[in-house]
Amino acid sequence: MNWRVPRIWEGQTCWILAGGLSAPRQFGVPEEVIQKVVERKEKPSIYSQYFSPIHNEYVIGVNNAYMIGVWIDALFFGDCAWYLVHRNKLIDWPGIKVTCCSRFQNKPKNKAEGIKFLDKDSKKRQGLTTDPTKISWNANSGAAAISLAVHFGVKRIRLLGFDMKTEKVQDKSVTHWHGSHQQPNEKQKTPPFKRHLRGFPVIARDAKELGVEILNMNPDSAIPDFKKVSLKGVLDCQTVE
Amino acid sequence: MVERTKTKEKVRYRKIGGGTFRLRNGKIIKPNQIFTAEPHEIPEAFKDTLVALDPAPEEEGPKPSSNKPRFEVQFKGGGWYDVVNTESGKPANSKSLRAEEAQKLLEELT
Repeated sequence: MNWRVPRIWEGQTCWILAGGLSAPRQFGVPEEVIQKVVERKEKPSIYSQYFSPIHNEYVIGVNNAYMIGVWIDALFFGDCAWYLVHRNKLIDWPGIKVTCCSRFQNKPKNKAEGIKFLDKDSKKRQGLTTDPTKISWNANSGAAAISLAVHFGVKRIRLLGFDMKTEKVQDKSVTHWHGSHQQPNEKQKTPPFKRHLRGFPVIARDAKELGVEILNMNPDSAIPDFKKVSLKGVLDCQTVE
Repeated sequence: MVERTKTKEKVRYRKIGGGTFRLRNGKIIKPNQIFTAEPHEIPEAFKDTLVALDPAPEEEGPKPSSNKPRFEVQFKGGGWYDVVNTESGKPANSKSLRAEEAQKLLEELT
């Protein structure tokens, strides 16, 4: 059965933590630490202390972000193959776990392993669906997580790690702060960023209509559709508020 | 506690890395080859050279016994309640709730 997302964060601010390298860099994680996590010599939880300014905020983690800490309130993933890799680790993760992976469609609650299912809205593939039992997939989990945040009722969304491009870590091209989604002995692939970018103009338009402000915390992001701001500026403003 | 059960559902796999191997039914699998097999047909020694392309049958492998979000209703005082993540201590709700609403939210989240 599809989950109906409750509006638990009505009028609030939500941070969405995706996989781009800019996220740990914005929070001042040293490059050598990032390199170790990328090379899987350190666990992503080593980032947690650096993210302390948002520990008490409402946070949705995309894919591997849940591994940073239990202060992340909700996880969104869309890829069934990703779930198979992380299934056993998710047992111990206590937050809200949400997916559009079809293996959870029509699963009775006692067999859903605590995962909440939202169908991909076939009538609204891009942008932000207003049906709280569905998400607009937008061809990537990060963009779909924006759909989830809106269902939670938030009015302000802060995007972290929405880079949509490769970055260099010690002269190596890297797409995610946790390393590749591929296995270590598998050929590394660059995500289809061009396809991932297609949904964002529609998200921006829909967000405006819904009265939701979306800010991108990466001034160097390849997504041109949201206002780009510095993390420091936003955190300073929150302190003042 | 985990329990292990068997399934007869076939899964699509892709062989990664170099080298070939033989399935228990005798079929030879080459590098990058995509094939279908029941999980028990894969020799244990070669499992780490494969990537499952389909959702694996849920019954295969250790099955989580308690893979549920952990929340509980906590009394705040004055007839108000929060639904709190028991590990992080963070309330899931931004505004406090009446007992009935909190119980309903708890059911929705777990």
